Amino acid sequence: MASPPKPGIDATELFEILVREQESRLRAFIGSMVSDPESVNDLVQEAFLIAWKNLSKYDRTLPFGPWLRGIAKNLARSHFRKVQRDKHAFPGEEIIDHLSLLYSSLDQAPGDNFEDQVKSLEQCLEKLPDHQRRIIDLHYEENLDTRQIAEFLGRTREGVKKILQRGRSWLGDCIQQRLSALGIEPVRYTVRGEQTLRGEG
Amino acid sequence: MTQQEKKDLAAIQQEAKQLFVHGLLRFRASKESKVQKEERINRILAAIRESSVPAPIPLAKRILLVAASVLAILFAGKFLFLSGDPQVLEAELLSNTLKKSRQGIHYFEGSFSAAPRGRRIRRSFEAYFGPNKAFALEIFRPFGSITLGSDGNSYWIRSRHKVAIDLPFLPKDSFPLLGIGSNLSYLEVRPLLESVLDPDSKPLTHSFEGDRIHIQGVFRFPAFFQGHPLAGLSHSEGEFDLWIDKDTSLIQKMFLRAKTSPDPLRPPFQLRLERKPTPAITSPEKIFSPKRVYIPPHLKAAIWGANLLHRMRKRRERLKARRAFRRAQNRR
Repeated sequence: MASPPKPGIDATELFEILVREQESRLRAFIGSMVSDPESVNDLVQEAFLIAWKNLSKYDRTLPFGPWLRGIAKNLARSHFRKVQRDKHAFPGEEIIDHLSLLYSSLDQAPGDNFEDQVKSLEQCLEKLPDHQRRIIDLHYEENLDTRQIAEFLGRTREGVKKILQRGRSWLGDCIQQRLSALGIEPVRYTVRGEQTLRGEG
Repeated sequence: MTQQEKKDLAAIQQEAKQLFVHGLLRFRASKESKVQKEERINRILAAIRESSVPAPIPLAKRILLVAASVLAILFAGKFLFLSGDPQVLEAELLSNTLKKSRQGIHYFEGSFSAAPRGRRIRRSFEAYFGPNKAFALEIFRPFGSITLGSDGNSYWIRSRHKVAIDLPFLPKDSFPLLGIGSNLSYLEVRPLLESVLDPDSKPLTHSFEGDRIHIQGVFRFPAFFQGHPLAGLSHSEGEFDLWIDKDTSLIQKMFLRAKTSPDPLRPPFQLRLERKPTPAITSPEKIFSPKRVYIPPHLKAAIWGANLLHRMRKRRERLKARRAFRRAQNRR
């Protein structure tokens, strides 16, 4: 039965499994920071490539997801510097670290894949008040920006932004409550700094 | 933490939460087909494969690189290779699988065989594994099935007459109930499964079989299992074969066995598991925490006492038989 590892074994085949496992969640993570879909795809690909090349440095006692997100965070920072030529557009180290923790808590949620794990979002969306749900749908599903939504609904742009913000905040709390009910808590940590969400044009 | 620091932290958490939901909503809205996802993954994999094959390097650059490498060896004393290590990946895959096995409800059918004290036993069973170490194992015995389970906090057992009782006064790793102990103690399949997926287990080879990856390796039996005389282990290590789904990292099939025993009358312990579609479950409570019959403390104490007496009597009988055997040998 078990024989010593074969020299020159194709590790890419094994890495493929990790790519399949992590691709969706990494895309969502990068999509949290970077708005351009093409850039998101490029950054996801680059993150996997760097992970692959640096696999010898990966500490196997730690989960793979946070390590990959650490790589993605550095890539996103460079992306903001190079492409957007505005280092202030990057949400901030501490915020991204905390964001990674939130994704880590989602990693522990029940489900065979990321699509299953984000089902709690679906259940929370169903409970969202109608006016918030409508604006969230227009923004994310219909791809309208806050100005277009304001014109469409006859509201002020600031008002739309506020509703979007409150809706996301409510959804975030709802998801965290659902995870807490399963005994999953994000690890608390202390950081300094304050940032605001950007990219809502 | 000062008031200001608390405020800063709350602002960071709030902002991270906004980004988190923003990312999830964008992901939800992307609505791409399986084909599109596959294409994207294939592009990533192609880039990885390309990066593994070095592109031809011009001669001048090659000379420079060789010189640089020699200098690096001379000065740094070591040369760092950047390549995918299959064992790291296999270990990561097993750790993913372990994580998945602790989430949701999984249903398996399986069998085990052992030969405690030369007496061959083979049993088939059905197993549910739930979150928080909950499990339910229905073991099929010649005179009806027995179900052993746990809701993650306490153990219970259900007789063939479908009456469940708590097992609160028993040590976690053994089930010395009258008449049923011998088969149950090593049927806690979950610890066995987790010891295969443990970071200390050694995946040695892997191969791809359609949608599954087949991993072979060695693992260490859990401590309680090693010490149990009925398991009849001659080694603390065992060998395993594991088939994991490529897309979901879920165990599809597992075969584990103790290392070959030198005694032909004691064939090594073996266990097989195969995932089956989980039957529709209306309430996980019914599976992992069925209604138990209340047993008053004095009755529990009486059962415990009877069990102790039974074990002592058995032990006396064994010693008596051993002495008689020795006497007979001496006479010869």
